Amino acid sequence: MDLKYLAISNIGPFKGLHQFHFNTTSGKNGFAIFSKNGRGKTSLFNAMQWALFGEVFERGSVRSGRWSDGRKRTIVGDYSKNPGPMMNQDAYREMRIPEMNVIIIATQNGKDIQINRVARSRVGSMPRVDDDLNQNLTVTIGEEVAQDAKGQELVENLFPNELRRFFFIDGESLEEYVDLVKAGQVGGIKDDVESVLRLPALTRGISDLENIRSSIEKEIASESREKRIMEKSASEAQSLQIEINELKSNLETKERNFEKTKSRYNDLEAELKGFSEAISHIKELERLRAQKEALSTALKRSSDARYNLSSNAWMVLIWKRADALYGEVSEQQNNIQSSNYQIDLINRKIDKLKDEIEQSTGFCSHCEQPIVDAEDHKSRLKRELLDLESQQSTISSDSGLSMNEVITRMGDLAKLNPPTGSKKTIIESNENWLEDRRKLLNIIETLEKEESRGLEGVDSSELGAKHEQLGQMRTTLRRMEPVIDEFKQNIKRKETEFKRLGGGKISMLNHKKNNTNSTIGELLNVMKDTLAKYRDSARKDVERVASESFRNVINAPEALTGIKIDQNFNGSIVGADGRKVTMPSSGQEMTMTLCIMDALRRVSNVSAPIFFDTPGRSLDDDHKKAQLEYFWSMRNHQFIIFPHSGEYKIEETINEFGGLIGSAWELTWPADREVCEKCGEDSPLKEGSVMRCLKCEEKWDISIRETTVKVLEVES
Amino acid sequence: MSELIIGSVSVPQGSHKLLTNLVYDKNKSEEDRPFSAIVEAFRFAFALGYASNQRGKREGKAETVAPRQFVVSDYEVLFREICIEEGISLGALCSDFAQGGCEIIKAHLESGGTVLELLE
Repeated sequence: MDLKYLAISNIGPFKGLHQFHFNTTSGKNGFAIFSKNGRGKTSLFNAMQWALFGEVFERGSVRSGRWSDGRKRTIVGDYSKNPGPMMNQDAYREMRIPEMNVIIIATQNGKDIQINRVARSRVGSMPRVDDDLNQNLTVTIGEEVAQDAKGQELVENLFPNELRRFFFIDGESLEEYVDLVKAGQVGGIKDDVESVLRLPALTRGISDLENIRSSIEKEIASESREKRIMEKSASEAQSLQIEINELKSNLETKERNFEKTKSRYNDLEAELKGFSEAISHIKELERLRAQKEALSTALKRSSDARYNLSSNAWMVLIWKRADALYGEVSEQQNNIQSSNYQIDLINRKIDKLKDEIEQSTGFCSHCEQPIVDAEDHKSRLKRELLDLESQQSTISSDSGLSMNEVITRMGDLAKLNPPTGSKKTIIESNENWLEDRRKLLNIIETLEKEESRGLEGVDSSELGAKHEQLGQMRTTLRRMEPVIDEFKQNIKRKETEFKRLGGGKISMLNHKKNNTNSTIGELLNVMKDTLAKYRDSARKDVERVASESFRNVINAPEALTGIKIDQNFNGSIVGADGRKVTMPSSGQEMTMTLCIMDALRRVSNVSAPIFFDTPGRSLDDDHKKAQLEYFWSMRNHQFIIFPHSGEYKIEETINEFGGLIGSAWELTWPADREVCEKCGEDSPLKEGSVMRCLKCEEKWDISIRETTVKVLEVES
Repeated sequence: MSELIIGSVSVPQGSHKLLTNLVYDKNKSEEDRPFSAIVEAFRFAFALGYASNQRGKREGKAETVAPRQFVVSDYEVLFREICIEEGISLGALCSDFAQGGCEIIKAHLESGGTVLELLE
């Protein structure tokens, strides 16, 4: 495909329509668009990509050993960011044109190709986000016209998107690509080699099959988990089934026994129906016997209570008399205490009198006056003494028992004193016992009467036995009913649980999935083998073509004889000895990388122009020249470079390579213009933000950041 | 006799039988058997005789009552003077009172009463 015409409107610094006519008639494939930085080279570069693919990405990088595109560029949005949106904002501000547009006209195999992509605001004003835009693509190839998706398919038939990076080369990110190519990177350029094979059906087929296989494997894993759960449930269900069977068997036995007992009960009840009088007699006997039983129990209780209390009964009796005796002894104790007190008092008086008699001096001991009749006084004292001694003797002889003896007797008598209330409680317990006994004896009497009554023609003992049996059976039936109900409930619960566990069934898993997975695996192996063979063949082709290019471009082809792409798809420079060159220069590595990219492109057999932004980066002058010499000499590819002023000088390049250049342009701002466009005068005068031609007075504003495309003259 | 003689206690066979019939039997709750052992029945009879101041005449073959369970010296405080005065042993006096009590019990039971009613 050869590019003939490019027109861009309102992209980057290109406000309004700007056109590029590519001279294709000269047979020269070199094209150059020169400019200083910021004048729109990269915008132009991106405009071409956008026209072809509908999307532009920021610079790519190598991530985890693989090439990865940068973020997608927006068409409109935040203009304060760098890089900003692609659409020219001034076009709207000044001309109210919310639209950007690229038209490419090319030719291939004699057919004209026209590609027109436009992004237009759908909101009527300057759109804020890309969703506010309508984007349309129109592609015409010969007579065939296609829109949008269909048009995109046509474009990509000519210019495969997956090979885009071999045709749109960004010198800025080339160094990263160098790293990818160099030995040591996992995977190397394997992905690139695969993409140039152009076997999308095979690669996508592998990818699709791997996805299918992964999905099947997930399903199988999920089913395996399910199966394990089901097996566990089945095992539990089986145990449960055994339990249920045992319970049912037990229930059947119990129900059989119940029915049998009930049947016998019914028979017996029917049999006893004709003996209603006898039955009522028997029932009365039963009632009386039960009553007797209850009263016997009550009597035993009261008898026991009486027995426990009666141990103090003798003391109650003893105390009837001993109480009086205790009173007497107690009085004796009081008397002894009183006597002792009196004796003590008398003794003290006697002692005093004795002292007085002994110490008598004829003087009063109180007033110390001489006693008139001293002898009479002494005689009177002696008489008093004798009297007191007589009283003492009388009191002493009155007392029969000593105090100790009295206390001992009181202690002994106290032991015979019953606890308080004993008599009352004993009498009450005796009365209770008597009452219970009376009741029991009454019942016994009534019972005996009832027993003695008998019934004519009826063997009451046999009837009684039968009636008792009936009662027992009734009790048994009553006991059996809840047991049977419990069994039924239990079985029901376990059956519900059994159902919850899936009834012990293990659903047949889809074994076909395993087979399908296995078949896909085999198919994948075959496809991967095939792809590997193609890839390896392509690798060798790339290696061969890249080596040819390398020898043409490198400045020392005798010493650096080619490029090796090893089994791991890593590239290296080969020396004259056939061995890998260790530590090549960065320029050599850059050249190697460009040659590999060129080889990849050529092996892909896609015929399309090559766009190279900032092509001279990292290359020395010799290599830069060699690069242009080689690429611009190619017969089957247009090679369009976008150098800035530091890479390739305009005049120098045009002079040196004019024979290889079809067309060349310079992108400028008004500030770059050093020559008057009107008269050709080359020394304008700067007056503030305006330049003025001194010859023709032409003026131009140098504050405007608006790119102008200038066609450069080249050797025809 | 100035010294107190302790002696032993006994009752005639008839009274002994009477007392035996007053001993608790768990299977005969309806019968008047309030005492836990024969010695307790004897003690009740003795106390009853003393309270009623009724001594019985003991005739015929005697049945002794276990001395370790009926310690006559416990009642010395009541009977010392009487025993010394009458020249009989403490055991004999207790036995006489017991016999007196048995006679009262017998008469009461025969009249349809219960033994513990004699407390009143």
